[in-house]
Amino acid sequence: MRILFRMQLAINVQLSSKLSLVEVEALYVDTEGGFNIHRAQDIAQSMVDRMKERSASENVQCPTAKDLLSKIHYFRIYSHFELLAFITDLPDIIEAYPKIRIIIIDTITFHLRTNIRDLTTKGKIIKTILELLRKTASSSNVAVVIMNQMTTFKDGRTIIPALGERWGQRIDCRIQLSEDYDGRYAIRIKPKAKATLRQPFSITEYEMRMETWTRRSRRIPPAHP
Amino acid sequence: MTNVWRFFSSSGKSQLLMQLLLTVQLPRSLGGLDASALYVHTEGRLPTNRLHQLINSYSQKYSGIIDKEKAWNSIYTLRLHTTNAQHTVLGYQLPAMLQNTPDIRLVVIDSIASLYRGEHFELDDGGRLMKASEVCDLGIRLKKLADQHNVAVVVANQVTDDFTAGSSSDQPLTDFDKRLWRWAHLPMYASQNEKYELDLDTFSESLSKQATLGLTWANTVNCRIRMARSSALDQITRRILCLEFSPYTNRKGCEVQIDDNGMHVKEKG
Repeated sequence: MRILFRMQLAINVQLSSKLSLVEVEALYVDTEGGFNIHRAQDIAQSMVDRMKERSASENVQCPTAKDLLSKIHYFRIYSHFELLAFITDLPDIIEAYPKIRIIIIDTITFHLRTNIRDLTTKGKIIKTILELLRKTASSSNVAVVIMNQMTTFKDGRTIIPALGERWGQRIDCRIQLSEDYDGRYAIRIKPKAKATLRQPFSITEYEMRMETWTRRSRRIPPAHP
Repeated sequence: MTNVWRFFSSSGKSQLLMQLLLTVQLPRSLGGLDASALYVHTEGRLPTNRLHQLINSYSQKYSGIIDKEKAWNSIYTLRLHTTNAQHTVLGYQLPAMLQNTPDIRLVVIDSIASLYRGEHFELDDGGRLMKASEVCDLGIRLKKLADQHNVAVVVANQVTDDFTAGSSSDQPLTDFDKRLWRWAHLPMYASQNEKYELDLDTFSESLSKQATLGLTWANTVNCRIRMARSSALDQITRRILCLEFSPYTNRKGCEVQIDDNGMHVKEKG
């Protein structure tokens, strides 16, 4: 559940950073009710403030926080039926909002857990969703960011990503957000690299920021990026 | 929004939940929602004595705003006995009640764990799956209700001992910071602006406990508040209330005291 928490914030930030490109819009699919407008406002405002700082010397028109937020198309999904229907409709939605360049699903897992008792049905739904998302990503030239949850393996102890092996295999890039004694960090699981790619980060009031690797107790705040 | 409250028995959970039933009635300027509350309870009798005490205290403290009779009338209750009843109540009665009583802005469920504690689920994979699927269903349903009827849903959960902790060989059990890193350097607040750090060692046993219902429930809630109490060996029982995770803000906590007038933040020093 810790990971979930991080993910939500990660989304917010990713969303906002994408929006720094003026003509880009984002689609945010919320299945858990975790999207928090106040937090999004804070993050958007902080982003605008930083853009203003950076372009202070130039005569660049900076967007307002409201501009950034207006470019987020928000959908709330309450069941796996709705999720399936929504993903099926994605091509039409993107046609209606052609500036959408990123789709964020937070989380794909919430409605695809043990609430679907029949494993065959569940498998089919997951497979369909995956195929539709891949199709949308390639045909519409849109980035698809899917948030997953961690679940307990059968042994009751090991924590693994939900939705199984097959899902994992068909995802191009996988990042795991975690936290331990030394702080929060993100690991790129896929595509595999020779050395483990591990990036520490911290979550502040306004953003998710990269950190230099130090022990939590002696954390030195990084220079302003 | 669904909150989960994790508790060590007699940590003050029910106190806090009951207090919420009254706080919600206050105007927004005083931290309320100017609304009524629904208390769904599963264990024992309704704690009317304590509610009575709290209502008296609130009506005195907020005289002019809270009136005793109105306070009582603004608290609706629902009793659940078994998980079967839970399905019926949550599937039909609760939505109907929220529909017919639009001034309810808070639903408190005390507690979800007790619903499943006494229930007979097989101890095999099938049974575990059955239980997980019910918990999952419940979460989905509650979230939908919360959004549809614009209510906050606060659910109490319980804790159990963590049997896996001791088996990890790379975890030195002596150092609090290493063992309970999540709670190390937890910012504690004595008031909105007074931040301080507290040695939480005496709360470590309580903080080590795991919430029941596992990741299924943990992955369902948006926000978790945890209460912990000091070691039984301490002369005076101390209690802390911590925000474990939330989409709004980072982890923080406060020390609390419970008296006749309710639960209050303990002032520092």
